[in-house]
Amino acid sequence: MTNFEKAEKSLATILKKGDLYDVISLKEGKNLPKYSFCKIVALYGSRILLGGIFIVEKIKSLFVPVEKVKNAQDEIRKIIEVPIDIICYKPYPFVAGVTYNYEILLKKSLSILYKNEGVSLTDYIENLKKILSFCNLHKIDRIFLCKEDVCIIEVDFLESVESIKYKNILKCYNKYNNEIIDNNIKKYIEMEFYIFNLKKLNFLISELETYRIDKQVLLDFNSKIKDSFIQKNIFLFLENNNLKNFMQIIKHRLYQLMNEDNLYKDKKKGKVYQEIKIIGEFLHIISIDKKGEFIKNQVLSFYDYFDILDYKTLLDRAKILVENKDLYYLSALYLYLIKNEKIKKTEGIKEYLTFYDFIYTEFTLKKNKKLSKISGLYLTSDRIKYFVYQLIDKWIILFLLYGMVFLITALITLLKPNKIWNIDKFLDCQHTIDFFVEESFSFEKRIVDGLLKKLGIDFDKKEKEEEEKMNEFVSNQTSFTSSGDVSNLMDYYSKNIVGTITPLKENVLLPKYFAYKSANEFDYKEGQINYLLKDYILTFFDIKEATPLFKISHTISKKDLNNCLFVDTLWVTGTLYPVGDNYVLTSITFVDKKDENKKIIYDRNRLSRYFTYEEKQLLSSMEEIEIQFAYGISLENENLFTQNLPYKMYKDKTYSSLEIREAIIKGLKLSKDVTNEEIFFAIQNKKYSKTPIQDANLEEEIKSMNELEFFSSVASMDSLICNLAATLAVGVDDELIYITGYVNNDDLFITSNEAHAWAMNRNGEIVDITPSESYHFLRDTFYTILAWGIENNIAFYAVLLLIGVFVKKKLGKKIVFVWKEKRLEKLILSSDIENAYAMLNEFLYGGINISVKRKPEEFVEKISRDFYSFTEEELRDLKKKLLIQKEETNKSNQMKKLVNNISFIKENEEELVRILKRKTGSNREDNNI
Amino acid sequence: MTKEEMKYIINWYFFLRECLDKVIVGQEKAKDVIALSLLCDANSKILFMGGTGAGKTTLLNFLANSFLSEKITMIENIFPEDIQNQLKDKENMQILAINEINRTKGSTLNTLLDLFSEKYMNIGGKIYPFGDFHVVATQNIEEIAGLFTVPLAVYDRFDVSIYFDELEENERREVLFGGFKPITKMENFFKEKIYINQIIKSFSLDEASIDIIMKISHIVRYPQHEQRKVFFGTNIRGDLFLEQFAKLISIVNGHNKLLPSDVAPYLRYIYGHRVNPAVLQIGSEQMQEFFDAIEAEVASLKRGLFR
Repeated sequence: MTNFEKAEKSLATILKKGDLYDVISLKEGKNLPKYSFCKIVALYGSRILLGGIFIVEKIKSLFVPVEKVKNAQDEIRKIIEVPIDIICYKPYPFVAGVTYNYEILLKKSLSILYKNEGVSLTDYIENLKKILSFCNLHKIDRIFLCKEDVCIIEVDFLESVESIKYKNILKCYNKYNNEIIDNNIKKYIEMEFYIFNLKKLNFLISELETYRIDKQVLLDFNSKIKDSFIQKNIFLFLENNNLKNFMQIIKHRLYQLMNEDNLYKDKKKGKVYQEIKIIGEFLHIISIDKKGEFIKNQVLSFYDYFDILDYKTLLDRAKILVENKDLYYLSALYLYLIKNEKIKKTEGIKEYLTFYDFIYTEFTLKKNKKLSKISGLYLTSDRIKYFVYQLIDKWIILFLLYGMVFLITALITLLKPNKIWNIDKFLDCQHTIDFFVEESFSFEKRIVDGLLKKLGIDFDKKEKEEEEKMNEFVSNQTSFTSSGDVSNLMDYYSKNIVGTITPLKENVLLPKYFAYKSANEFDYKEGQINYLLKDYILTFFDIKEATPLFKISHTISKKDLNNCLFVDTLWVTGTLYPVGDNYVLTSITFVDKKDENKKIIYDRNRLSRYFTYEEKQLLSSMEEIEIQFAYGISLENENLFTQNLPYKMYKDKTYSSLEIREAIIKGLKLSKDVTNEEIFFAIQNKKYSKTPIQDANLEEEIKSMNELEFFSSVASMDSLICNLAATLAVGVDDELIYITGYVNNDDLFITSNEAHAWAMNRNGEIVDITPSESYHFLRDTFYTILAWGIENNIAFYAVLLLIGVFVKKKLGKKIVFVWKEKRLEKLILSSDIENAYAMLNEFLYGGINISVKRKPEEFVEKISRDFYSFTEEELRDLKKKLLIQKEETNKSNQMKKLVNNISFIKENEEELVRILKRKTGSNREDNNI
Repeated sequence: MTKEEMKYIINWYFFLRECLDKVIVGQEKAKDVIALSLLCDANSKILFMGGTGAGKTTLLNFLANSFLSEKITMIENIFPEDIQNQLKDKENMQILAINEINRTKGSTLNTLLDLFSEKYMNIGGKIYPFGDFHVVATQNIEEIAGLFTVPLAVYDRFDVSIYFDELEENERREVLFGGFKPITKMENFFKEKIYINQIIKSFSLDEASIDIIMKISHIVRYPQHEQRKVFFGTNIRGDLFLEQFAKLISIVNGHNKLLPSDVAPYLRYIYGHRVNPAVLQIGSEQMQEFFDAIEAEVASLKRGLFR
């Protein structure tokens, strides 16, 4: 064995088993968990959690106490004797767009919902009173009353009361309520309710009471009016409550009285005929002379007619009068009743069901298997929509994804806190994240797809559509508003893999840019630049000899394959060319995905460039064909893609390239003698946006611009997208060519989301002046922060913080109580406290104050009583004033301590007294003053 | 009022509390009220209420034994003449102790009205005047049989009524196993009493304090009941005693002005018996809740602004 062989062998063992450090740490059991472990945790942690939540929800639903809650509600109905619904309501502030953020913060509270079930106004008021006293007792400060029931009063105060639709109480608001609403429940859900608090309800009751017909008032009228017919009818009304009839009778009798002598003699006009009609609260007086001409035609109120000020004087007048008493009393009665006529009574509905009753009956029906579905409940799709659109934000997803990985790394650092973890190992973590974000979803998608295929559900159509869309995008770069740049995480999951890269050797630096098509020609038309994109065609002569470093593979349909095998030789279109270094194609392989033994390698070493008969048969027998292009770096200065790039061509151009360059410089507001690099720099410093032309509001204008105006206005925009930036680059430099393709984001997949456009010169130098995207920035900063965090063991502190937050939430109040209680005990058992208290009293009210010795618990009681009426603000004020009055004695310090503790004593008086009694015993010390 | 005078009165208050502490266990609030009412007025009248075995009669006997006293135990068949004959020569008595006041008819009790308020007795047209004396009476409220309703006029003559709670567990333990404690006699107190009363009478409250007393008397007269103001059958006798009481309570708390929170917890003792719960159609438990609300309202009164 030669030295060379020995060295090779030992190097191989080290590579295989790991270096000495790794081995020792492995032996000592201090190694890090393997990469795969991280993967599994990251992959399935969240899924197991979701599954767990689902199962817990299912189990919980078994124990939901529907009957118990129903009984509780019935119990309350029995107590109040009013059919109300008790509602757990969580109000949310009406802030457009961001409601859900606040929603989480607000707490649920109980409230009462009541709708008039067809009772009369007097009963309704009584019911409201019962509700009011109940709410007062149990401190419920929200009452929903149906708008229809309350609307009878026309007072401004109702405008200040908030109203809400029932569907908003049930939280099926926003765009989706149409889907929830069943026709059965529409009548409930569209109802509007006023939200009253106790004060407003009190006011409402007093307002409603003025509308109530008082029995006593009617009896008073009965004794005063002499008309026996009316007297009879008053009693009748009191029995049957038919207001409409009663009103008509009174109106008719009033009409008779008023028009008793409708003929009178006027001094000038002679005989005059007069008629008085009663219309609502007003009187319409018409008088006509002999010839039939109008003398009077006016509308008066009752008060104007009788020439009085108000209702009270009307009654007073009636008392004094000897004749016409009935006219006055009747009109007073009429005016009294007309106030009540406005009240619309819901008659006939005797069995009224509230929405909760309705839902409960449906529930019982379903339980007895008489009904299949309860109408009015959310569907699963509604729940998911609500969850996704209302609660989940893009940022929440980001937080969940990264936060979970962060926690995992935190756990790892906790478990292995020694220095084994270094920044190189952190790259592993980075891979984990990438894997988690990109791979796991596609992995699951594949599993689900496989399952669906087995079940016979075909999604091929959809896939084809997506493919078409993708192709459309790549070959049709004319639209500036569409782009496939990687910028949105949500898009990220719905990616489409164009090709996969597999390195053939270790430590290969993979290329980033993959060109797809190029355009050496373009024309301009109505605000659109149309590039004539061209495929590059691979032939046998393009295959060079070099050591293969990596291969790019993608699936190909049989139709495309037939196009490739042009005249029995190779003629491949639509491939991905790595650009940047001197990459050359070394071989092309056709493999059947299902059977890897079926394989045709097409490289330089072949005997002939034509396919043999056997190869053709093999190709036609393949089911799923994958085409693999192997690439290597040529030692000579040659590049597959750039060597064959065509020269730029312009046909019938109205403007020269120099003119276009000047227009761009003008748009960028630079001086005329700038270099190309300076222009590129200025373009690259702009913001990134997916819709730059929309952002600049140029959509309409741009159609009427000529080419020069177009270039200058595009250059003057604040934000750009990749293809616009590339267009500008091509416009500036005559040698640059417009290229479309993909930019890989350091993983082994090229996806449709990574589609990109840039410029390149004939030497293969890439000019990519697209402004940087926020997403990349976010990603990078996240990585740097994570690296910094791992280096400084920040995860450890984060976990500590989490524990702290948990402890605070669970035990915070208890801990604070114990801590404060100890401080207080110290203070109260000290000998100076009585003096301090006397001083405090002197400070507050003046006069003579002497200290009186008390038991500690008596003291606590006394202070909480003394400061019963003090608000927090006043206590704060007191503290401030004490600070101003600086006295450098022990007593004043004691006084300040006392003031600091007052609010705590006030709140926890009973508990403190109990504790102090237990600690000090009930024996009194010597009572010295 | 000087600091020394205040200290002197506070000392006496603590002395009384100490004496009472040695006689009965627990009933802290009751002992407070007894000590305060003995101090604040030369002839205050105290009524003990409560169930059997709460310590009423023990306290009554202790007070009676400490001073020159006359003791009457009411029974159903006792005649007004019996009471008059017992008391007519005792013009120097310091305490009149009446046991079981509600075990006799109202008409018998009415003979005591003059004695309570005007300190004289009219027997067959002849007037027998008395000096200053305290009245201490007990009544049982839990038994049903053998009890008579006491006229409201008699109740009204009492300055304070004290309800004796049932003993708590630790108090029962002390009664049963606490051992013997020597009783301190209160004889010295009566020698100084005239001087103490003079000091308290000469002490005048400032305007803010008077304002508070006026507000309290209003709150007590028209308290909130089921969301409406009701007239509470109290009269000027209660307010008169409140004024005296307020003076003492502020001294005992160490200042020469009244804080609403000082007097609030004692209102139920001063006004509780002056109204018949039947007027409001409520039970005695609700009566306590009623006074809780009144006390909260009084405690929320504010004594002016900061100095």
